[in-house]
Amino acid sequence: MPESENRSVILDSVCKSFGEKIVLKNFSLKIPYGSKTVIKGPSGCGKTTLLRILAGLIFPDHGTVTGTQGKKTAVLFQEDRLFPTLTALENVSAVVPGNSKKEVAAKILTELGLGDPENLNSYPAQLSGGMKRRCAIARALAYDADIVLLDEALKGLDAENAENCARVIHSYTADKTVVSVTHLDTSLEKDYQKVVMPMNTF
Amino acid sequence: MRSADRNTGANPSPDNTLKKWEKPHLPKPVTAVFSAVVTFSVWILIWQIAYANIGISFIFPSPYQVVVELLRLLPQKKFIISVTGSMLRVILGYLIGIAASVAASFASHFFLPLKIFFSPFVKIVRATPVASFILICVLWMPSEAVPVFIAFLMVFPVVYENTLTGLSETPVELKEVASVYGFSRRQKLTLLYIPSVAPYFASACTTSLGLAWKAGISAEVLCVTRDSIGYYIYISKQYFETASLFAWTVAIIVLSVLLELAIKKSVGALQRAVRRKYAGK
Repeated sequence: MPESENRSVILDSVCKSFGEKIVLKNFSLKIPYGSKTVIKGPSGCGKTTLLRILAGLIFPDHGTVTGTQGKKTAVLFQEDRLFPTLTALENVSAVVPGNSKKEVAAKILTELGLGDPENLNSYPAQLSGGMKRRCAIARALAYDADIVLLDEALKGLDAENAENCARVIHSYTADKTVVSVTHLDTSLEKDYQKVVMPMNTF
Repeated sequence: MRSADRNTGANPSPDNTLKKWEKPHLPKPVTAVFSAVVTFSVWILIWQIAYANIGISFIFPSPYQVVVELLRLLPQKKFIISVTGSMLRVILGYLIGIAASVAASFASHFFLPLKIFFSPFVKIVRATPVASFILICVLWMPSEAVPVFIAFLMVFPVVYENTLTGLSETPVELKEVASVYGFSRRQKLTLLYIPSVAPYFASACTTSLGLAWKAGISAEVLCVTRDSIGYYIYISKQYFETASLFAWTVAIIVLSVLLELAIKKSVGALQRAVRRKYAGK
């Protein structure tokens, strides 16, 4: 098997149900290493479930997922999920590997328009919805992961901030495998390989 | 930063919009002190009226008699020694109880068989009258050790159950973040579990201190522990020195209030220290 094939993420006949509700049925997908993939589909079609399976947070009932084991995975959740007891800077620096945690975190936050000391030292409850979203984006980028999973990445951002965030995400994920799920058309995913998930009728 | 960009609701500015008739006439602390003094005076008056109706000092002493007796006791060596002894015993049992219950609750949260193991113990301690425990313990250990053990027993179930509740309410969403980003055990402890447990732990510490203090003194009375408040309560009762009995009781109440204040301050300071030390690390 070629090296690039070996490093691809492959979902093979993945099934997932929650009680009686079947969310994914025999879903297969190959995500080549370093590729950028956007999974689109209407709300409730199983996009987030798929992302959670890729993140290893839940397991499929049937089928296999290969290529994610032993790899660092960053997840930008649909909700911001910031730690309320940490400032914006601390939320991001908490995931930065190695030394110079705060410098790396401050650099990314600055690129995302949150470099003002007042913003860096604000707690999530003191930030607006858009600022929290950018802080969550910064955290996902600061982790230096092999695979980056984005769930409605630009949700709640105005056009100007969404454009800037898309640019920053591109620059930090150029050599990474990116899977983005969304039901919107955003500038972030315009060059991504598109996969459409139909609304399940199981 | 654009001012409109911030969530102003989280940073409320001082409220200058009170209508004229809504403004309090007195500053808050003055009102609180005034209210406390009035309430206290009313209860002393009720006590005095009760005394006047009963009219037998050795059954029901007057507030004045109790104050005189308390002032007589305060400078005495036996008072200092017994108060110190009682406090040390109860605080020792209290601290052992907190340490044991926190360790047990964390272990139980992550290892279900331990939770099942501790469940009957906690239920039995909660359901059994403290006097039964005291009388059983006096058969097994020296009288000086009984108040320590009883204070421990009072603290354990309260702190154990509250800490477990706090642990179980740790947000799943943040647990997932910690899992995805490979947080260390220390990060999980300080960023996930301590913030979730802190309010429950603080409340349990305050509640259980009152329980430990009362039960510890009861143990001293029933065990006639030397150099203790309980011992002098027992002696006062034996010799019908009711004013003395009341004076010791007043001392217990005052000490209980002071201990509770000290614990509230300590727990608050501990929470702030943990947050300062581990934030973002």
